[in-house]
Order: sequence, then C-alpha cells, then structure tokens
Amino acid sequence: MNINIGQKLTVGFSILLLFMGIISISSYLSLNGMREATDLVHSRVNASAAMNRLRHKMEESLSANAFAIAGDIEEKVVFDLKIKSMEDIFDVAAKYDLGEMDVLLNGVRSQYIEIQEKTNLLYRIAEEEEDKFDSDPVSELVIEIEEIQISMIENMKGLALFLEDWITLAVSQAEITRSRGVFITGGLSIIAILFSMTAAFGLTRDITLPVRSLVAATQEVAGGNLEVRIENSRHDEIGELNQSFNKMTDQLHAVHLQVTRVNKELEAFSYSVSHDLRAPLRRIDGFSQALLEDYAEILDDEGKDYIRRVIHSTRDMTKLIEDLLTLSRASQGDLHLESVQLSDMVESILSELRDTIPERPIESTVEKGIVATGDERLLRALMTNLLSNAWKYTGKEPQAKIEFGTIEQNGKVAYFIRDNGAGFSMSYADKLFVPFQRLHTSEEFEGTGIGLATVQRIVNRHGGDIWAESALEKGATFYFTL
Amino acid sequence: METDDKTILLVDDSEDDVALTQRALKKNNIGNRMFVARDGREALDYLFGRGDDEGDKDNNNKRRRMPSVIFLDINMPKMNGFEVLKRIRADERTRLLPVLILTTSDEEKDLREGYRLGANSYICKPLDFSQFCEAVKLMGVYWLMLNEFPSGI
Repeated sequence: MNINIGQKLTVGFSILLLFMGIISISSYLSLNGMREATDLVHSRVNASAAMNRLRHKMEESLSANAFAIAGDIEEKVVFDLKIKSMEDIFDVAAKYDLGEMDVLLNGVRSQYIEIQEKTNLLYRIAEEEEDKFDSDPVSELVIEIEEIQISMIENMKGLALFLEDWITLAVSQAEITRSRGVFITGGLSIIAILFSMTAAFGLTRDITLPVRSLVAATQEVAGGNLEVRIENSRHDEIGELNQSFNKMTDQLHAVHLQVTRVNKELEAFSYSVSHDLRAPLRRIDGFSQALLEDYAEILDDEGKDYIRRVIHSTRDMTKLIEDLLTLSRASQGDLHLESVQLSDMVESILSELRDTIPERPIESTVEKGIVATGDERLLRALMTNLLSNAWKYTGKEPQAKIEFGTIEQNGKVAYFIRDNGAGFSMSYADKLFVPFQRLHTSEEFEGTGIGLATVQRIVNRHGGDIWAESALEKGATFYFTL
Repeated sequence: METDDKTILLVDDSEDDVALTQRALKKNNIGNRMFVARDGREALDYLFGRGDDEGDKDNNNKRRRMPSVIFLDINMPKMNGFEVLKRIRADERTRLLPVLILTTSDEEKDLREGYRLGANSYICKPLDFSQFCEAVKLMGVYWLMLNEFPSGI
C-alpha cells in the first residue's frame, strides 16, 4: 500500500471527525425529538385541562339551565353568563390539535348552541304565553333539552377518556424517542471510541516497530558493523528513513573500505621506504668503514675525520628512519590487547640500557607487579621511548635516578616515569609531543624529535592520555593512562 | 680453517651488498669458496642447471657442486627470495639444503613468511658495518664449521 504515515493520520483523524459530526447531529436530532415529544405531552396535558374545565363549566351551566327552565329568571341570567364564558373555553380548546376528536368537540359545541337556542325559544314561548312554563310546547322543549344535555355529558365523558389515552400515548412516544436517542448516540460513541483505540494502537505499532529496528541497526553500525542493512518494503516516511539509513551505511562502508585500502597502501609505502632507504645507508656506512680500515695509511687525519663524519651522519639518518618506522607502526595495524607485565618490561628495558654503558651508575626504583592491558609490542615501544629519554636526559647527572610507578588520577590508574635529569620549562609543554619538535640541540642531547610523538600516538590508540610535569634542571615526570 | 671443501651461494641483486658481504667474509677468512647469483633466476640455474629458456648455453658449466649453505636476499627483481626458497624446498635435490635469509627487512610478516617457507635461519643485516662483519663471522663459523649435515645433499 502506498499510504504514508501522514496520510494514515489524516484519514484516521478525518474518520474520527466524521464520527463526532454524526454523533453531534444524532444528539441534536434526538434532543429535538425529545423536546417535541415533551411539548406534545405538555400541549395534551393543557388540552386535557381545558377540556376538564369545559366539562366543569358545562355541568355548572347545565344545572343553572335546569333552574332556568323551571322559570327562575335569575338562573337564566346565570346560565347566559356561563354560556358566555364557555364560548371562551371553546375558543381555547379549538386552539389544540385534537385530531379526530375535534369533530366530537365541535359536535358538543353545536349541541350546546342547540340547547341555548332551545332555551331562548322556550323563554320566548313562555313570554308569549305570559310566563306559562308548563304549557305543552314548553314541556316538549324541556324534554328535548334534557336529552341533548345527557348526550352532551356522555360525549364529554368520552372526550375525557380519549384525552387520557391521548396523553398516555404521547408520554410513551416521548419515552421511545428518548431511548432511541440514548441508544443511537451511545452506540455511535462506543463505535467511535473503539475505532480510535484500534487506529491509535495500529499506528503506534506501525511507527514504533520499524523505529525500534532502526535504532537496533544504528547501534550495530555504531558498534562497528558496517554490513548491517534494513529490509525495506515500505513506501512511507519510515521507508524513506530506512532507505536513507541503508544509503548512509553503504556510503560509510565504501569510505571505510577506501580508508582501509589507502592505509594498506601507506603501510606498503612506508615498508618500501624504510627498506629502500636503509639499504643504501648500510652501503655508505660499509664502504666508509672499509675506507677507514683498508686505506688508513694513505689518508691523512683530516680525510679520516671527514669519513668519520660521513659514518656519523649515516648513523643519525638510520636512527631517524628507525624512529619514523616505529611511529608509522604505532599508528597502523590492529591492537592485540592482552595483559602486559609492565614492571617486568621496565626492568628488562632498563637492563638493556645499562648494557649500553655498563659503567654508568644509575639508581632505579620500579614498583612491583604492575599489570596493564594493551598491545605488548606497542607498550614496549612506549616504555622504551620514555625510559630511553629518562636515561638520556640524566646523562649529565652524577647521581641519576629513574623511577617507575603508578598514581590514581580521577579514579583511573596513571603510570609514571620520573627522572632527576635536565627537565624542561613547562612553557614548552605544548611542544613536547609534536613530531620533530626538540627542546634541546643535538650537541646537548641527541635525538630525532619523533620519540614522544610516537609515545603519544601509542597512548591515544589505547584511548589514554599523556602529560608531563617538569622544571629546568629539576627532572621530568611523564604520566600516562591507558 | 677447514672450509675449503665447503661453498656458499650468495643470492643478492646489489653489487654493493655483494662487495660488502664478500669483504666481511674475506676479513673472516671464509671468502675463498663463494658463488654469487644476481637474482632468483640465476640462483635456480646455478642449483638445477636449467637455463635453456634464457638461451644461455654456458649455463650448465656454471653449475658446479651443491653449496653447503645459501645466503638469500628477499627483495630482488624477476624472482624474489621467497619464490626461490619455495622452489628450493619443492625440489628433491635441494629440499634439505640450509638456507639463511639475509636481508635488511625486519618486518614481522617477512620473518613469518621466511620461516613458513622453510628457511633455516633469518638474519637481519645490521646497519652498522662492524656489527655486520661480526654477524658474517658468526654465520661462517656456525654454518661452515660447527653445523653438521648428512652427506650427499
């Protein structure tokens, strides 16, 4: 599917919004329905009250009419007033929509008008016959009026019963509307909640899982495995990220291979240089010595001195090449980490140094049992350089001392080599480890200026630090961590 | 010294180095029976008498007797020391012949390769000539006088 995460989110939110819209509309509709149903109940209750009032008035007026018919003129006046007020109630009742019962109500109304007319007729006849309320036509009228009255009251009773049913119906309809509203709105809400939960869970899985695998792959690469690639079948933002990751790792891998290749070439180059430079130097040295030995008789002192200078220079250059080779070896090749007995190593290097000038008195203090983890070959080059320096710079000291030991520095072990030799001013401390930088002339102390650069490179390759403390003529202490 | 019947084959492409080695041997009185091959191909011709492919008719004459020991350089044109050593060890006639690698290289990988291919010894030429003389003297004494080998190899 070619849907990206942004589109998924948009679709999800749109569906949610749609749900909310539907829920709002359905809530509005059911509220409206409920309001209408309540209004209907109200109007029917009002209508029913009006009807009751009407019936009540009617009964009162009918009883007034009964006296009026008997000739009581005062009751006739009351009856007429009642008729008048009943007209109003009829008008009010006509306002309510009573459906089929309107016919019934109209029937009652017309019956009432009939009674009124008949009563008026009855009074007219009685007046014509000089207040004779017991004549035959009057009696007939009275009987007719009574019949109408009975039928009217029956009708009114029927109307009341109908109204009762009518109200019950409206109430139950309102009940149904309410339940339906609750059911539809509630159901929609539950569906919306379920949908959003599913969508949220799905999206989270959709995003979290690939991000996790990306994190794992990144950690692999950070750990040095450049072969890691992420399988990618997605076409969304995560897919793009995966693709970029793979592309980046490809690039890194290519650069790594290139660097490895260049390093190999450099290694081969330095090997050839060292070999090819040393061979002619050996020959210059050899033939110069042959000259000195075989032609000593025909060379004067100056000639011999020149040849000695040639030999001396070739030896300087040989030393320089050796040091450069050690420096280049210190930077190349893999580290073979193992436990190295530093104390034993220091003792053996010191005894080698003593062998070069056996008559030189030198006092050495070596802390026993110091073990470090590192590449033995490189650590030997490191210790040889530092100890040779200590040896060299104490050369003019009548009571030379060299010390090897450890101190604790920020919770790490720092190894140190201390001498009481020429030392140096701390203002030159930043130049100590720069290749070819020397703090002494060759006449004072011999050297190529490569030794401490090599030492620093070895320490750096072991992930450690190196620093020194010294003062002129006060000796020097070199500290390093691994 | 009783080295007259013993010969050395020196394989080295540099005329200067040959001269210096010869001088060192002479100074130690062991230079009288030494043959020089100037590259790997010449060394094999000397040992096996081949060389028809080179068109050198006199080559068979060059072949005298098997040397008692071979001083072999590594870096040489056409065929380097390791290749020569491989051929020597592959041939029945020279399989047991003592071969000393004599070179300026002190690289670990060269040392390993030398011994892996069956060198009897690996000597890194000291850069100082007097030390080199001392080394040549020791080599001569050891390989031509002290060391015993079965006859007929």
